Amino acid sequence: MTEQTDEQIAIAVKQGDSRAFGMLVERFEPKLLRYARKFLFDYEDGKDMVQEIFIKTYSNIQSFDTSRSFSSWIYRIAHNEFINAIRKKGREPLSFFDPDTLFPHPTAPTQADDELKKLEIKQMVEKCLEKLDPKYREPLVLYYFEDMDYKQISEIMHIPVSTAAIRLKRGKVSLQKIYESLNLKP
Amino acid sequence: MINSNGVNPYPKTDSIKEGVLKAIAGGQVKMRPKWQFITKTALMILGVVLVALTTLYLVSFIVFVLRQTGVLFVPGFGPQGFGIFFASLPWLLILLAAIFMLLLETLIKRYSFAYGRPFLYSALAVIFLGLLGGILIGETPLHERFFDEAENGQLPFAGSMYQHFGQQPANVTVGIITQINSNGYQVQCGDQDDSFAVIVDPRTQTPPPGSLRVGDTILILGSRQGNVIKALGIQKPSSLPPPYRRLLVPAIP
Repeated sequence: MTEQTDEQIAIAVKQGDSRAFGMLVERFEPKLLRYARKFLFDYEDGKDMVQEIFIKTYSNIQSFDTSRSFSSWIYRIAHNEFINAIRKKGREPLSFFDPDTLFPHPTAPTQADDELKKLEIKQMVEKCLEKLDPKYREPLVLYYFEDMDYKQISEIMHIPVSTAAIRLKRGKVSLQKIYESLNLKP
Repeated sequence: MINSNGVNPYPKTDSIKEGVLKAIAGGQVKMRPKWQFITKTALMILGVVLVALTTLYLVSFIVFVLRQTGVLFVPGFGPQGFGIFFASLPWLLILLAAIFMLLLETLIKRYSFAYGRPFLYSALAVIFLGLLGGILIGETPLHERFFDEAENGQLPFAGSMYQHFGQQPANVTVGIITQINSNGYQVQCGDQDDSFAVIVDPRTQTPPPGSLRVGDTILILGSRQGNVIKALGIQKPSSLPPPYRRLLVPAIP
């Protein structure tokens, strides 16, 4: 028997099968905890936040359009939760206005980094998390740790696809600079 | 999640899954019914439609005001005309229309067709569609009818707005030629008492000789002194609406 997709399970939950929601929690708990640890890195209540994300997911599941990706939808809820947490704690500045979203940016289609390069950047991101601007940290985390493509990042962060691409590009440049300033080696 | 009282309201367990399922089973967390989301979506769409319609109304009203007062055609008089044009624009209405366009842009940014594209694209689309729709509506007799109703005191809410913005700038006059004299024209701008003698001299920019006839609607640039206008320029724009059309009909010989 083939494994049910996230969307099929979500349909069952919408129809009243609350036990099926446990399967979604099992699938997304490790992913969301990782997303929280990487994006929020220094927030002790990451586990509580992930619990809250699942509560909100269940509470709002009737608004989920099952023709779309459940993964992007739940990550969007997580994104909002994490952004609110950052704003609430006020440790890092988050601007309401981002000039990157104003104009189109020429972008190349998603290029798969080879495994070695990807591993190298992942290690760099891990070492420099706290130095990275949240607006670059989040797409880097989603791309390198959550295996999202530009389109999914765009849907989660509600930004144009070209902006997702440009933030990844600038994030990598920023990462490189931080690395050099810390005299670290990948 | 820590609530406003500083406590986690859900069952404290080591497993997130267990905690969530317990909260669901214990009734602490309830699935919001579908109708709430449908209502919210319907209200959002209604909001977008209302803001879009208001934007179209404002833009079309601006177009109507510019045509009705003749300001739209004033740049045809050259540099001096441009100065009068900018000074006579209904800036308050333009600001209001811009605010509504911004509001519309903010509302549609919630939808993937808008947030998935750069702000420039969606903003240009809003501006383009707003202007195009407004200009098309401005071409219909809608505002003219409202204007007439305002004149008759039959438009209780927007009547004063039509009367206020429908006034012509001090040095721009739209009128209908009722008589052609040796030194100019006699034009009528409203009822029988609102008649002006338009004086033309060699410096006056006018259409080619013989092209103006009795009954033509003309735009006159020049300050009014009593019932006399010393014309700096005269134009006969083809799409200029006659002033106070309803009142003028019986006055034209």
